[in-house]
Amino acid sequence: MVSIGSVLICILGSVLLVFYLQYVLCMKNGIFLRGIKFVFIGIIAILIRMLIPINFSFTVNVLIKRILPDLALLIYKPLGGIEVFHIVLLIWGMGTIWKICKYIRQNYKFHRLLKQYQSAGQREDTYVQGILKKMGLEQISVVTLPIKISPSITGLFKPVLILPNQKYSDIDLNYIIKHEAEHYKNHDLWLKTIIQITECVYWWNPFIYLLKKKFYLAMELSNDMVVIQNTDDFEKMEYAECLVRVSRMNLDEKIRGNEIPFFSEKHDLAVRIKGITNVVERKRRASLQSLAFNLTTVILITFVCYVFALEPYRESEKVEQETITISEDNGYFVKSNKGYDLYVDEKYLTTLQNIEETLKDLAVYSEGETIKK
Amino acid sequence: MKNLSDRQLEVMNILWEQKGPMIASQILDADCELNINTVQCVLKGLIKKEYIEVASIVYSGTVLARSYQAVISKEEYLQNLYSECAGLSGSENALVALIKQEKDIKVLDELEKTISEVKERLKGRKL
Repeated sequence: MVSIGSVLICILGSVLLVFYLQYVLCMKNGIFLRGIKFVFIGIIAILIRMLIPINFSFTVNVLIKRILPDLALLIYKPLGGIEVFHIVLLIWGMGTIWKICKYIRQNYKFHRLLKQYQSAGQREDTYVQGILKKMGLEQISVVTLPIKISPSITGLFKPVLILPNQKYSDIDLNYIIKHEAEHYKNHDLWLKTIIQITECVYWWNPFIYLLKKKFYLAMELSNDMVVIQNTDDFEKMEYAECLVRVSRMNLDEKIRGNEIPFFSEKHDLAVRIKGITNVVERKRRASLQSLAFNLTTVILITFVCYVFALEPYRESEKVEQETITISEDNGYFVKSNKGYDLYVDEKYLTTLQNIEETLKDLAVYSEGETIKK
Repeated sequence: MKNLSDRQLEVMNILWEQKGPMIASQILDADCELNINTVQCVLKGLIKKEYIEVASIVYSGTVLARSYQAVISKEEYLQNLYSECAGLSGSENALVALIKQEKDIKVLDELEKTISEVKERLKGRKL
């Protein structure tokens, strides 16, 4: 069942992934040259875990003594006959349903839009289809839209290559098609759908939005490396130039930005170009140590997310049944000849000679005095 | 930008193709499957959504009629719809783009400069 612990471990998973991907994107990490697919598989396993935020039979509860017990008291407090936790789950569920419906509606609208522009014998489309045929990807249809957009690919079951009606050179067109075809061959659309669904479920978690951005960038970087493998250094730079050219063609107006670091992650394209130039200038190497480190990190995060849950500390049921908690809300003393009679929940418990330090907050009444409730 | 229903889109397509103001009866004549009352209703809706405006009052036979023209171009509508569907305005689609559009031309200039410098170093290395 869903508990605070299972939800917390899923949140922790998203936080850890954000930091991990940040590291991978910033460092001259050779993982994009080799082994990134295994890393992506691990990330998808973590995302699937996040989509099932329940405790499994093998889940090990890690009991947290600070903050969580107080949070649990608040969450499990009844409010008009319903626990706050159930109200939170209801709001969560409603938000998720709304987001998923919106996502499905957007997809439907988008594919309806594409159908109107299904290709019909334009020069580029025939040329493009010829290239796709040579690559053995005839199943990918082509749509040209009369607007300034980035070339893209969509369609989980019926793939569609979307091109703007720009005049690309044959070299650029070849790189564009190769890049998009690699996305299709690597099932990147499925990866994107899984992370999008995870975002719909965790709509309230700010880390999921960060995770999505970083994952998409990592996916593009990985794809760039696939496109440029088995090419010489000049062809690698030609591909980099193609990316910049395509971006420039879509620019509507000249915008001068503020002074920010050039290779800041704010500019995904800059990060990708840096990735390519690092390969060309041999700053990025596919070492075994890099592969081992990355795989270990992802396996560790996956293991933690699946096996553990962060639960608030509480006494075991047996202990709770055999013990009572005395506080000023339920206990008081009545002074008698023998000492101090201790009453808990208005029932006599025992007589103490002296009031212990731990019970000094309890009220003390004289015999015959009215007990204040 | 507000969404268009199928009927509204049909009328807008006619106005975009015509590229000039049209009255309701002309829209109906231009291969429209709707009837005149529906066309009038659709036109009211489109004015409310600010997709069209009244261009002028003209004679249609012996009666006066409003002529309507598109305020938003087809490309603008398509661009906005695509942005909405494909993620540029926040909502995402199951689509993978070649590039996330870089809006800062300064960055593009710097990237080109960097690429040129690397190519020069490569040429130097080759020699």
